[in-house]
Amino acid sequence: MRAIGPLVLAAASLLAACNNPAFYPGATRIVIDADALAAAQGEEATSANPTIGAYGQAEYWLDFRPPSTAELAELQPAGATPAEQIPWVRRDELTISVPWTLTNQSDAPMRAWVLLDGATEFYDYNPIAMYGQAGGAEEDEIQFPSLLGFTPIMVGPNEVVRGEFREDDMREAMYDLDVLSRFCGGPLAVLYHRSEADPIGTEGVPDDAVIAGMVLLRLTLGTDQPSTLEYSVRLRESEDIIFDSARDERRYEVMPEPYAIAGGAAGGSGGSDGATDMCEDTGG
Amino acid sequence: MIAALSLVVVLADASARIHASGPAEAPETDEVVVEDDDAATDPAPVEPEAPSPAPPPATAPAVGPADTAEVGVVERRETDPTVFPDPKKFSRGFFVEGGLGPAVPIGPTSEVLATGFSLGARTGYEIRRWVALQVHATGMVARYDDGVLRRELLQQYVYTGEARFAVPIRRFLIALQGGAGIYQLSNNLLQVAGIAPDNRRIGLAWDASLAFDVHSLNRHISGGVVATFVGMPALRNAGTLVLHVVLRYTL
Repeated sequence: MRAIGPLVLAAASLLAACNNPAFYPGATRIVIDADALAAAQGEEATSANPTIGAYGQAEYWLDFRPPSTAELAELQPAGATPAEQIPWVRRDELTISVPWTLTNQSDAPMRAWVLLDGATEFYDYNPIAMYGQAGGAEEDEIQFPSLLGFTPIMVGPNEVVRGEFREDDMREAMYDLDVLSRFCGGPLAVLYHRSEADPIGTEGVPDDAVIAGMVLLRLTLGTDQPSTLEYSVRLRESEDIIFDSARDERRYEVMPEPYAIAGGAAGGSGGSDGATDMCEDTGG
Repeated sequence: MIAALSLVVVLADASARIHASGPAEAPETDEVVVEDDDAATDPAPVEPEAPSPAPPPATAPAVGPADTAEVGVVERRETDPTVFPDPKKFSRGFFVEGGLGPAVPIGPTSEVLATGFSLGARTGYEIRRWVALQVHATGMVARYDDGVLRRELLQQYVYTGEARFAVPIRRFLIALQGGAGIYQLSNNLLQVAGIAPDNRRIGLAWDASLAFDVHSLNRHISGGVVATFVGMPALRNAGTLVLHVVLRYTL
């Protein structure tokens, strides 16, 4: 009799086709080999970060169907600031998760960072690559955290570790990204607090704000041993806005502006909450 | 109480005696009684008489009455037990068939899909017992694992029109059936795995089956096993072997 329950459940799920997500193909692996580790040791190395060490990044653009010209003009009228505009790609229409697999390809223990950053259609946030623009460690520049995963992972020799940026993680990451970039929230205050539990740093967000969704996912692997990171992008209940080659002729073209953290220096104008030049310019 | 028990014992003893003497012995008992009577009434020695014809046996003849013996014995028509149940009495015409069982991916899909569970149905018209036209639908669900996506489910649906040719052997039937139609996928996981060329979820499919069927004593119901291979050319010629235990009802 106990077998009847799972059988009925399997039959019901089969008939109801309840599992109906969409998956983005073509996610590329991030590989850090011995040569990349050696190159990161150089003085002028661009693939090294004092916090996470040698790193590699992969950018993954999500494709969406475009709005009509009239729709776009209504959402984003000319002359309006990003904070006044309404995004076409909205957080509420995206239910994303990113499962990943990290493999230590050495015989030694490894400390690794699997980070996720990204961009909305307005701003691109890449704190790892941007570090150093304010003078680096000599100028007491602050390393701002990534949107997700800013905690090291200890991996044993030749061990395979699997993880996932869950749907609720991604939902919070999209909120943080839009708040710190478009509504000028302090990165440290926003990123170190779960907005649902502690909304510190989100005071500038209007009550009726439409939060932008991500159009770019940037995976970063930081490590001190040869290793690889594989990942995949999974969306649920988002098919209406996803680009479909059988239905849509064009993709939604966006050019997000790099998010500049001029206040990254500890004693800078941003203070401890890391406000930005961009927001200072706009009065944020 | 003792008197009652004694009465029961006496009755039981009498009953046992009655049952011990079968009805076939009754004439012998009568004959002995008659001989005793003669001896009592006529004590003089009796001359031996000429031998008289033997009395008829007490039991009935095995071959029938004597007056019908010359023309033969009327016997019941014999039936051949090997043709029971009679296939001519089986229903024929519209039928519906349902089955369930495992679905085994074959080809490129076997690299990412595990053996899954499937439900299937066929309905059609049996023109003769050896030929039928039918439509077929099967749904399958299997776990997908490409090393990164590890807990996803992929459902595949196949809808085909088929012809069925069978070799009936009394109550058994071996059939070959096959046809063509379309398949449908519930998501684009096979595109992520590099098996599907794009995110289209519908394509052409074909199938071929070998079926073994046993008819029950009910004229409408039969059952058996069906092994079906479903081919999907657009998925790098991948396929699925579907093994079903089926139950069939013919109107």
